[in-house]
Amino acid sequence: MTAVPVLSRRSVGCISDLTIDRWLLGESPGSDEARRVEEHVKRCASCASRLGALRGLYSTQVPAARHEPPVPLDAVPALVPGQSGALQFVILRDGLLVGTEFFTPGTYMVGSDPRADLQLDGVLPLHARVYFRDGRVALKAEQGALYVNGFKVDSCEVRAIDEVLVGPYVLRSRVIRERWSDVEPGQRRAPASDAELVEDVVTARVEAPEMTVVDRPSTSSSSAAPTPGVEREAAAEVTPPWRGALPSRVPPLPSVAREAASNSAPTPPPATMSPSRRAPAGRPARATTRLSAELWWGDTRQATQSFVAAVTARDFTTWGFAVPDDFVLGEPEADGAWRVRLPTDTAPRVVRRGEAVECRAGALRLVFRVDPVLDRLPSAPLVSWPLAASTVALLAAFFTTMALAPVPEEERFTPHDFKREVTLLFPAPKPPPAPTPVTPGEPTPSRSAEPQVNQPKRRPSTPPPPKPPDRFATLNAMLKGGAMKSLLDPTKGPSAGRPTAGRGRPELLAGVGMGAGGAKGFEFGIRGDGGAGIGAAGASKAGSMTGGGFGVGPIGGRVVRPVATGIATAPGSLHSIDTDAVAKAIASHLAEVSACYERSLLSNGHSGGRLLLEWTITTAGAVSQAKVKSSTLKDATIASCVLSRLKTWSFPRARGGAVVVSYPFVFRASDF
Amino acid sequence: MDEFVATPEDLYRVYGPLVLRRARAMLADEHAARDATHDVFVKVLGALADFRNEASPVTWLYRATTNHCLNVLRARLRRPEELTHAQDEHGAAEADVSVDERLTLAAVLERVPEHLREIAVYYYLDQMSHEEIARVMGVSRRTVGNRLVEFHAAARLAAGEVTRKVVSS
Repeated sequence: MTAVPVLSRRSVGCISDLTIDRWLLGESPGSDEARRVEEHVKRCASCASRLGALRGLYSTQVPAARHEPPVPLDAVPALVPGQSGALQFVILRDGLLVGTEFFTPGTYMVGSDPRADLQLDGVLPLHARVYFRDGRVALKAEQGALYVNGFKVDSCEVRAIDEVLVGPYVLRSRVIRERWSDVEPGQRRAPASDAELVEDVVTARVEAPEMTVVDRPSTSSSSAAPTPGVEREAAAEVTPPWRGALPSRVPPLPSVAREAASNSAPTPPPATMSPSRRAPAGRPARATTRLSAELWWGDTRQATQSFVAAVTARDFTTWGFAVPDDFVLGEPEADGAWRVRLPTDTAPRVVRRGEAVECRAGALRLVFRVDPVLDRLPSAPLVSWPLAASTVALLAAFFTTMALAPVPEEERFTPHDFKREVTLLFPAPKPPPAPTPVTPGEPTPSRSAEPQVNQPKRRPSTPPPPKPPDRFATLNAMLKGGAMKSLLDPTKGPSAGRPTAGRGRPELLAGVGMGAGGAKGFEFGIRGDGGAGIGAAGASKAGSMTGGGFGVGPIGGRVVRPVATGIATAPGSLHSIDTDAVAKAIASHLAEVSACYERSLLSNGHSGGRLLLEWTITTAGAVSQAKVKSSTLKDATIASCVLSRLKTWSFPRARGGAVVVSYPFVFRASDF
Repeated sequence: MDEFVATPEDLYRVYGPLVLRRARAMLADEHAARDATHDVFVKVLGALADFRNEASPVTWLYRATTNHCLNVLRARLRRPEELTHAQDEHGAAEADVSVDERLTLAAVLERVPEHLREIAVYYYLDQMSHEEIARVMGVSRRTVGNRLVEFHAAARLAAGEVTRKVVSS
């Protein structure tokens, strides 16, 4: 028996699939079980092959993903300010929205190159660079030109209100902040100043280009600046590994940030302007003020840049003022003052907060101003969390009030009211039943639309509305009761027009087509009375006729049974005709007869009866004469309608001469 | 032991083949096995929190798959016409269990009490040791032994000579 090798697996000490599975899926690393598997597989060929087979089964999987710790969904996100928030770029072209892109904190390239993080057609391959950190955004032109609010810039910070032009595209940035209130106070850090942001982002890479993400996960947020770095290092320590392990996609940038606002008017800057310059080797302590250097050409500001640390001529090009590269233009002093050396001066001056000095050379003007460090830039209201929080609180309060508010009893929806409205569409045919005396205090069965809950006693002058007849109850009663039976009873079949289902609703429902004699099939339809809304749809199937006591049930144009014997030819005639073929011809036109009848039903209501027609069929098969021989129909238009139709029909040719044919059409409209 | 990522997609990617292989081995029907796999993962979704806290997801899935497949088999035994075409080459080739064994085991399982079926599957189909069965079922090793004895008795009683050969280990 083949069971033997299977049973032997355990008996010879082989390991089970479960053990192999656990080993393969990493559930038993370092345990005895794992060692046993590894030992056993070495000497057992069968288990080794089994393990190989199972490994092949799992080889396409990604167990590497399992090393990430799970993120509890309801936990407060561990925020590191420098790594929080998301940047959204709304991209427009020719005023039309092209798309939006989201970025997490980091540095990204904009360009048409496939490697670009934000790929745009029609711009240079590596057009510009985007820095996003601390919820703030800075741009730097690389290969292409960058315009912010119409000014060409090399690099600058952009806010939500700024319009950035990159080639043919307009970019609008929007920073989506995470909730700062969730950050523990120890992790909270004031946002960097605008000058610092760009500077930190860029210089961190200049000064520590060898940093890699492997050792220092929070490279982008750590700075080489001595004093401010303390705070930032603390922030880096709390960086969870799964957050901090963002790959640094940024090569070291040999450039400090500078903002060059240039106008198209007189453009004096010589072509020697080099886009890349070196940062100062070391910076003193962070100042509470910043030194803004501005270069003016006439009334046009050509360049402006802010510094929080010592600034040399290398950092800020002074164009027309010839100074050596290591010429120190400004150094921060204590108390927020700056020691500024103008190129035209020999001795430095101390500039305090709010003061400014300038020097001139022809139309060129160099201005140094000492400003307080900006804590925050105005942000768009959409990203303002206090506003969002207060909005949410207001909404919550509103909905809570709504939910807690008592609902008036009258406004509650009841299906009873609904039914009443529907049935009102069908006017009751019978006079309303005598109003049953309502004892005071007794709840009325049908609730009126007016709120009468507070009026336990009805006014005697308003009788209760008649209980509307329930359409479906009528239907059910008919199905159970005599209506159906009478319809199905062949002996009662030909009694056309009998209001079998009076039952109070003759015009509400009309038309059961069935084979009266043969009872081969029946159909029923629902017809609204008097051509009301649903009448036309229902009437297309409603109403039927039977011919000659033999069942014809036109169900969708289908003739159930040919009627041959119903054809009566004139007795004693030598001429003859194929009665079967005549019956077929009649049957093929039954729909027209039905149409005549239904038209009458729609306009005149319930009617039924027997219509005996007599017509002459020529040897050509045409109808030469046609007349009504007898009719019990109330509505004469049916006969005329059928006659007019009949004259257009073609019949089999009569043999020997014209044949007079008579045929009874029985119309019955049952109000099933 | 490493924590595992708890998104359902990851679970399905990592453990899907395991469940499918196991369902194939028990049901011997590719389509039924795939259905069973999905059903088992629906169960996982329903008990995702429990599943995340499970020390050994493999063990948990073994048990869930086994129970689900036993239910499927039981339903199938009520419709004998499905047994005749239940074998396809895929399922038979996957597990190193022959069609004979599977049919015999199915016949035996049909006759033994329900609470013994699961343990029999582990013991005979999966070739698990007592310790492993105890861990999967969350019972003591002693209970496993007792239940196996019970199963032997019930199987001997229910089946006949043919069955006795299988369980006479």
